[in-house]
Amino acid sequence: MDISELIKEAKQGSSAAQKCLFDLLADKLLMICRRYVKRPEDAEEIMLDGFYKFFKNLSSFSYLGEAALFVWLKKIMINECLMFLRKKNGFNIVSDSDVPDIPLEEEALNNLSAAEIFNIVIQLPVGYRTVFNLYEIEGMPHKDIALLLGISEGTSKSQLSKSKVLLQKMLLQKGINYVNRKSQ
Amino acid sequence: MSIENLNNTESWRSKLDDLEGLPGDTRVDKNAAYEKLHARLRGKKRSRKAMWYWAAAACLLLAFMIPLIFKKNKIHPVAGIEAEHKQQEKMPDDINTKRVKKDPVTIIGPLIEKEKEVVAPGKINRTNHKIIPVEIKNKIRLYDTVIPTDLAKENISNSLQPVDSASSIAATLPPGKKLKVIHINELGDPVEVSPETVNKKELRSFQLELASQEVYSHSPVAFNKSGFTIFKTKSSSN
Repeated sequence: MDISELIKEAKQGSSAAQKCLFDLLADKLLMICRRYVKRPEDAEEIMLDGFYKFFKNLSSFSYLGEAALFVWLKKIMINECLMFLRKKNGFNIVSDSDVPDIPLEEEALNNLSAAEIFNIVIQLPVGYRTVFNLYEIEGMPHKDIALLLGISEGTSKSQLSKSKVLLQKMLLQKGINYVNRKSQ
Repeated sequence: MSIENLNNTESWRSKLDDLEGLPGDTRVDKNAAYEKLHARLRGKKRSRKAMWYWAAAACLLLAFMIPLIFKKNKIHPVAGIEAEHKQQEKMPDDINTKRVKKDPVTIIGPLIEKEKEVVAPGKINRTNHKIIPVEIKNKIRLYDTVIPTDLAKENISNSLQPVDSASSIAATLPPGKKLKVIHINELGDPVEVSPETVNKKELRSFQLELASQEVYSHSPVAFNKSGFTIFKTKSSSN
């Protein structure tokens, strides 16, 4: 069945349609949650919370396409993750202004599989990981990240720089020296 | 950033977005997860329904209670008597007497002592129990007006010891405000006749002879029993 039809039926309260939508999107959305929250159990709970909000507010959603639906769901999941992290950690991140900004080597990451990238990202500490996810993957500006996490823009930038340094180290440990690749 | 570089960026980003699971990772049981979610969604609906049921029940209960509460407030005996006393205190005596004369239900008669009359402080019927001070011959008297049918009802429902009506009313009054104490000697009698007068035969009766030769005599027996003077007519043979 087409997603638009599933959405229509789910809006009318059909449990079968809701189940179909859940089965279709749960895996992808769970991986997004796990990128922010390390523990799989927590990530699953967050995903269920996100789906709950999605089904509750489905009546106000107008279907514009599969991509739009996924973007909306992704936004819900990320918000849920940030709420969870705010509750748990409080984002007490100290800013280091003297950390130089290191450019992320995209080419080296491209050579890695999705699972490898995922495993490297989730090994980053919470603060680094969150800023890295929001800036590098979701494409959010530092201003918005600062507002979302309740930190200053400088802190967001320094966290990103540190995360990149750490990522480089991890890649080196894996035998992938993307700095060397850059010079090649 | 070159176009090629931008494409590369999109590439690793989209890789992460499309990731549906890790190779060595155990997959989440979707059915169990959905059951959890469905229970949450259904549970909320149920709780809302239950809330409406409770609200409806509360409304019904309130609707039944309102008439009962108002009914109780209307027949609160002590409060009613107090209010009546206050009104009577404020009113001048002549107004009271006028009211008594106009009231068709009120019976003004000689002070009758009811030996087995039971009036409980909490169960005085406001409509049937009145204390009306009446000014007769410059003397203030207290009369009870009691309808016999109501008295019978009171006797059945009351388990208290029989008490004098006047004293029971005094008990219902608040401690600060007491009725004026009037002794029986001060009250006197509607028609004052000394026992000597009643006993003396020559003084007990009199005769009136009118121009129409009719003789009116006074019967002492009738006077003794009811307190009213009865004239009996007797035509003279002369």
